[in-house]
Amino acid sequence: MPLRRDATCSVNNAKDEESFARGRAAGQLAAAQLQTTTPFDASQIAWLSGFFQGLAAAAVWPLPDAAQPLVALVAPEESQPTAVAPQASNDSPYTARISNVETYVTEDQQIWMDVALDIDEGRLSYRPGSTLALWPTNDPEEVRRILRTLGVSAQLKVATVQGAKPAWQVLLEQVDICRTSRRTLELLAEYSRSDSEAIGLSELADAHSDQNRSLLALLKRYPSARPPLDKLLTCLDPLEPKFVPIASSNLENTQTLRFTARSEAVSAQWGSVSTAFGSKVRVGEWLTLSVVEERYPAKLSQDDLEPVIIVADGVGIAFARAFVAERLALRAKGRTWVIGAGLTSPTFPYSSELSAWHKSGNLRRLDLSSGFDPGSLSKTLEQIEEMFWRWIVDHSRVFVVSAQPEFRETLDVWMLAVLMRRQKLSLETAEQRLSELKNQGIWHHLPDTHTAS
Amino acid sequence: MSLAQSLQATGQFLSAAEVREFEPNAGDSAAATSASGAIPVSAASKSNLDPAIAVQLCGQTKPKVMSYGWETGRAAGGMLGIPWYVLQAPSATLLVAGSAGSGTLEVWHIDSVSDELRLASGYFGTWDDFRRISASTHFTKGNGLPGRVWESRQPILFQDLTESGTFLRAVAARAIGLEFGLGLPVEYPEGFGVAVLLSTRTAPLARSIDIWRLHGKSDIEHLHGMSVHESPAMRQSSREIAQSLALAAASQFRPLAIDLAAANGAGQSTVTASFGWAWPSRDATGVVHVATVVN
Repeated sequence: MPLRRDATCSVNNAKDEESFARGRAAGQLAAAQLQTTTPFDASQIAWLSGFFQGLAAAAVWPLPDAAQPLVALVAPEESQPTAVAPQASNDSPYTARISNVETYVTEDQQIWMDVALDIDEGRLSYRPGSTLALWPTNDPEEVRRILRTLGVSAQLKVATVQGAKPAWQVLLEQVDICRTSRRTLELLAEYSRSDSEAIGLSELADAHSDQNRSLLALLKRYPSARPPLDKLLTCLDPLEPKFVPIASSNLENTQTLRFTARSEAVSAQWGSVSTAFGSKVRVGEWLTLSVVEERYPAKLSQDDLEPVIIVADGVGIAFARAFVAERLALRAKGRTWVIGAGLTSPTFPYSSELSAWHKSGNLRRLDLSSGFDPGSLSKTLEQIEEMFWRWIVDHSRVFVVSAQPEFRETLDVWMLAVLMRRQKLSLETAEQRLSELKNQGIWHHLPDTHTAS
Repeated sequence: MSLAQSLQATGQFLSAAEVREFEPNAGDSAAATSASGAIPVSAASKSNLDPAIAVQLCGQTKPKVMSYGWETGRAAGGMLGIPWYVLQAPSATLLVAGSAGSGTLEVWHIDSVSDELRLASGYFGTWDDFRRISASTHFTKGNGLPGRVWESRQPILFQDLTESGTFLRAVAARAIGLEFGLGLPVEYPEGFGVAVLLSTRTAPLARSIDIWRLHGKSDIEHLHGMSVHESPAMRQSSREIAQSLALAAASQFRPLAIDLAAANGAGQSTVTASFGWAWPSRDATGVVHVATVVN
C-alpha cells in the first residue's frame, strides 16, 4: 500500500483478510499509476491528506501516521517493510544529551552500545518493556547549503501531513538527503536545462548505481538541474526512526534513561542502528527521540509477590535489566529469573549489573546461553525445564523478549511441548492453553511485533 | 502581586538573579553553598529561585541550565548557573532564572573532538523545534553569537540575531520571534563555555543590557547597550544603575547581583521590582537590568 507503508487494519477473519488484500492490491495499482504518470503536487497532497483524515474521522479508515511527512505518501520503490514496525510518532520528539556511552565488542565481533541520556525530571515517561524511537536528523550545514544551491528560502512553507512546515525543517528532520534514489535522478534529469547533464543523469538513473550520492553532491555536479523543491522532496526517502530497547526504569533514576543498540553496517532490525548513526552516538551529542506507544504494553503485576521470568534474546537483555531495576525500585518481593540467549558473558552490556544483582539475591536466577544458534538455545531450555515448570506452576509471568520471529517461535514450540509433557495435553489443547496464557498477559511477547502487513 | 506575576504582566523573561558565594574554607563546594555572602536580593526575587535547583547548580563545576516546575508536564522556567573561580577554586555562582516563555537560556561547551561549540544544556520553554535545531547546531570560533564570544572572550550583545548569518538556527530563531541575545564567556578550570540568553523584543529578557569596559580604577566606558520599552528618562536611569553595577563588578572582578527596588527604598518609586546583575570578563563587563513598573 504505497500511500502508507505502515497502515493497519484489523482483520478478524479469512473473508475480511481476503477483502483487505483485494483492496490493498487495488490501492497499490492506483497509486502506482498515479505515481508513474503525474507526481502529486502540493494541492493534491493536501486534498489526499484531508480525504484520509475525513475517513479516519468517520472511523472507516485508520488515521495516517502523523509521523510520516506527506512526501512519504510516495513510497520509494526499493523500500521494504521492516520486520518490526512499532507505532512511533515524532509529533513531539524529545531531545536528550548523551551523558555516557559504553561500547562492547562481542565474540562474534558485533558492537553493542550501552547509552545513557540526560532527561529532565518528569518530562519523559516510560515503563519497562518500552521501546525508544531514535529519529535521525541531517547536518544543518548541509541543509543550509542545499537551500542556498537551490536558491530557496529556508522559510518557504512546505506541505506535510503535520501541516505546513518551513523548508529547512523538512530537509533537516524529515527526508534523507544523504542518499538519493533513481527517482531523484530522473527528476533532476527532467528539470535539467543542459542536455549533457540531462543525459548524464538519465544514464545514472538507468544504471541505478548512484544511490549513495548525497543530494548536495548531485546538485553541485549538475548545476543546471533545479527541480521545484516540493517535487524534489517527494523523491527523497523519509528519515526512518531506529527502534531500540530501553534498559532503565523511570523509578530508578528520573534524570537518566539508558538504552542498548547494536551497531551494524546496514541497520534493518529492531535493536540496531547503522554504523553511520552509531558513530554519532558519543558523549555530548544530542539525540531526537520518542517513546513508542505499544499496542499491548508490558505490565508487571500489581502483586509484587508475583514471580517473573524474562527470556531475552540479544539486545533484548536491556528489557530484562529494566524489569529488574523497576522491581528493585518498587522493592518488590517476588522472585525474578533472567534467561539470556545469544550472549557471551561478559562481553555484553549489563552483564556485571545482572551478575551483581544475582549475587546479592535481588535476581533469583540468571542463566546465560552463549551460543547464537537455535541448538544451543534448545540445550539451555532443556537444562532449565524442570525449574521453569515449577515457576510456571507458581503463577509466574513470562516475558519473551526478542525481535526475531524464529526465537519467539522456538520458545512457543518449546512451551507447547512442556505443556503437552507436563500436563498430558494434546497438541490442540496445549495450543489453546498457550493462547489463553498469552491473552491473560502471562506469556507476553516483546517488543510489539505489529507489522505493516 | 508577586514579582513573577509583575514580570509576566510586563512580559519580561528574567525573574530573578542572585550570586551565591562559597565559604572561603569550605571543602565541598556544593555542601558549602549558601547565600550568606551574596549581595542581598529581595525576598520576592529569591522566591523565584527554585531552592533545590539552585543548590544543584551551585554544585556544578561548569555552567549549566536546569529546568524546574514540571507539574504541568512543561517546565515552568529555567535557571542558569554560572560558576565563578578565583585561582582555580570555586568562589561563587551566579544564578539567573527565567520564568516566562519568551526567551531561552543556553550553555555551550567546546567539544574536544571537533573543536566546536556544542549545546550542553538549555531551557527553551515551549520552543521544541528551536531546541532540536540548537541541539544539532555547532559553532566554530567566530561564528554566531556563541562563536563570537568564544573568539573575543568578552560579553557580546547581539541586538539583531540576523548578525548570526544564515545559519539555520538564526532562521529558526527569527521564525519564533527571538531577536536579540547576550553571550557571556565562562572560564572554568576544565575549559571554556558560553552562556547565551536570547529573547523576543515584545517580551524582552530585561529592560536594558549594557556592556562596559573599565579603564584604571574608576573610569568606566560604555561600549554599547540597548533598552526595550524604556522612555528616554528611564533609559538614562537604567544607564546610571548599570554603570554603578558595572563599576562595582569590574573593579572587584566578581559577579554581582543587586535588588534595586530594595536599594531605592519601598514606596519611593513606581518601580516595585527591580534587580540587576553583572558578569565581568577580562576586557568588558555585561550588565543586565530588569525592572518592573506596576503603578
